[in-house]
Amino acid sequence: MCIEIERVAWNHLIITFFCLFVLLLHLSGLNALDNLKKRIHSTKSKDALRIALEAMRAAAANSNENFANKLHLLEAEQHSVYMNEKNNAIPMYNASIASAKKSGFIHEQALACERAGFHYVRERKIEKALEYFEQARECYEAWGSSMKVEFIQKELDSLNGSTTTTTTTKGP
Amino acid sequence: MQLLERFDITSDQIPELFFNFYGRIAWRFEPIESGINSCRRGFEAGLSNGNSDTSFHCAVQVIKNSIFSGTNLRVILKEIDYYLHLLETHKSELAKNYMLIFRETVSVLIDNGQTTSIAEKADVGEINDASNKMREAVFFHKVIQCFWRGYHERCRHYSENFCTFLAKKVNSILACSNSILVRKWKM
Repeated sequence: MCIEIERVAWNHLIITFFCLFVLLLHLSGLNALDNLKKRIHSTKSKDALRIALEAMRAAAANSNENFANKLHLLEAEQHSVYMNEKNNAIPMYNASIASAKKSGFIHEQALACERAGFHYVRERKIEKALEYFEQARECYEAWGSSMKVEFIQKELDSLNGSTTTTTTTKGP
Repeated sequence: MQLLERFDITSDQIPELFFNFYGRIAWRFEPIESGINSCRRGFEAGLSNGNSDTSFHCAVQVIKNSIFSGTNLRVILKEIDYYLHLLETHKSELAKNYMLIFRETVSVLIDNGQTTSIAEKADVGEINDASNKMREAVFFHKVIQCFWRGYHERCRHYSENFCTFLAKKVNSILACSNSILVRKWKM
């Protein structure tokens, strides 16, 4: 019995991180415009979001250093996805980036930069998106993930391509 | 030392104490970083006491906390290979399997396993078997791998499996603790 309780205690850390991963995944699915309205209004999405935010708030209340950045990131994604709260997203992303940097979580700093970049892409503010993607690439490099560096580089290349095309078409 | 006094234990129980406290509990209120160093101390203490099983479980906690704290992935991979090398002498099949699962995840995070993967894989048994104790670890690592790779549908699939599995487990533990409480109440 004691061993089982210990195993659950061990799992709790996993559950907390799991909430972060699943929620980000869930919210990232909302970016697809064709599914947007359908998913935003589904009870399942709202329930998942509520449960994950509750879990993260409880964890952050006990250990701000370990969980504040994750909580800010989830809140930022929530603001970014729900149409009427988009203006609040960027301060949340910045808080998550600052908090992750303070705690030394370079991978989560990179993740927050990446998500902020995608937020600006959705808002069609390409210059800002490029800024955040550059930061994300630097953090992923420091983390040692060449897989993620390649992914971000592709995003940067495609955005740079789109700005060049825009400039060219706008030119005389 | 404070922990030893608080829990009234002897120095040869340090690996168990560090494994349970710093590996499983301390992350709730202490920086994850501090748990890494303490679990590393637990690993060293276990090896010098001849308690290699607990020692390598401390090593698994070192790797787990290192991944969650954002330590450089190449550094983690090097440390895993060091532990795997030691596990050739000190036999601990369960710890070795966990270590190999972590190695695969780190390798995927670095470069999708293109240049960093190894031929040896964890022996996880039959993944559809409900009594398989490695299932939980396998599903969770699949969730992490698929998330960072951007395989959203697969990530969702594994996360649903993981949730179902966890819900059953938590329910069974709650039922078990309830029955103990009821028995104590009747006494």
